[in-house]
Amino acid sequence: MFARHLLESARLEDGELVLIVRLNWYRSLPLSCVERLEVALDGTFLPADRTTVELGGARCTIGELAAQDQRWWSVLDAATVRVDLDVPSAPGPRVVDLLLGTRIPYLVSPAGDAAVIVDRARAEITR
Amino acid sequence: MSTPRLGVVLFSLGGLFWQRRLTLAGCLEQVAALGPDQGIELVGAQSLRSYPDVSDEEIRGFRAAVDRTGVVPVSYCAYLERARSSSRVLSPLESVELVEAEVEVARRLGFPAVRVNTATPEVLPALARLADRTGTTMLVELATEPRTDPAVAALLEELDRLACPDLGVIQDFSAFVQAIPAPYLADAEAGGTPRAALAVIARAWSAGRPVDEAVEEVLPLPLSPEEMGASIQTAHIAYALFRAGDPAGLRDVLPHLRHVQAKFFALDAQDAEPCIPYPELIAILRETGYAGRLDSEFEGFLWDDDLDALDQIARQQRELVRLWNG
Repeated sequence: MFARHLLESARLEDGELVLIVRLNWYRSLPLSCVERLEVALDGTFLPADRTTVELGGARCTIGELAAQDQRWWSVLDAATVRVDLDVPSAPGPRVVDLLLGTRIPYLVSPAGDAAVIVDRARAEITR
Repeated sequence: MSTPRLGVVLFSLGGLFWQRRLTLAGCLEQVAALGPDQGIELVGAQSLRSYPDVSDEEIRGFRAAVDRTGVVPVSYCAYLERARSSSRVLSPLESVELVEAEVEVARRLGFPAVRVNTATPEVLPALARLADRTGTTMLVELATEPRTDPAVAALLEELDRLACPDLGVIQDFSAFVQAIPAPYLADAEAGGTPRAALAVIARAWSAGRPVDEAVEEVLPLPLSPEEMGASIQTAHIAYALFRAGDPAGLRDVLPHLRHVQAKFFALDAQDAEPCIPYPELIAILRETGYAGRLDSEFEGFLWDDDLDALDQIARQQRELVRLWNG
């Protein structure tokens, strides 16, 4: 279910790619459970250090996600993912790919490794 | 002929809730519409907007909806979240501390029992102390059964030894799956797992071979990195969700059984769940005088948006009563 509804919308505005993203799990999770968040535009992955996640009025970079144990991503909330594009976006249809990998806190292997559920979504931006 | 007490694990309506098509109060109204004396099980982290710091306003709203609809709070579902923090994985015993906060939320909501999703024998004394201290019944969910899973047999032995009246188990009928459900396989294929990999995984699962062997067989297939990643995830999730237990194992669980999560995936045209031997399981419960609830737990929404959760649950409850009445 989650992959089918993961990406609520995608748009280009003011030199940014803006994605509205849902959590790919049925339960709310600490934001630190987001272990992978990757965005590609027309098949090219965009740099993580230009990507931020905004939730509940607070924004952090991909690199800061791991420290967000106390901030929770509710299953009903959508996060705003922004990627700063270093070149002006070209006109015409664009394809966005999103990968979201989320650590599931209660699915821990006997070796002590937590499961990370990975979902992918694609959207086309027409402008 | 008496009929079994019924209920719904609200997880079943998780698709409608996640898609914002039903509120929590709306879920309770839909459950109440199924008939009188419907029990509910609730996952706090799923259903409560203000989780984990659950607000008084949300508690009041839930209790008002319970009073209005007449549904019966049965069990609040908590988890041993060993990997909640990114910095360290807790031991099972350490993670009981997180459950304490859940017990308090459950008490405020009016649930008499708290379920934990799993437990090891060494965790049980801590749960017994928690039950004693809080006056809350603590229940361990069994996703497998003792005749095919030594860990569950050891858990039951420890329950025997502790003989704690406020400690028991819930049997999830996903412990008795006989085939990987078709909607799961179809969704995995739509999500990028190639048909060839699905065939390998399904064959290994049906033969009772472990997940590592299934993955070993997938690895030589000529797949792209994305297809390989999807296939390995599909294998691990299938093995975690669907457990091929021995229905007779249900008999061994009965001394500690408080209620059943009647898991199902997608009913067939005759209202039967094709992957779980319900006639056999319900016959065991009826013959042995089981008096607990059968709480419907519909999981198919995860894989098929076209399955109508409310219709599926209503049909399953009718089927459970039909089976119970023989």
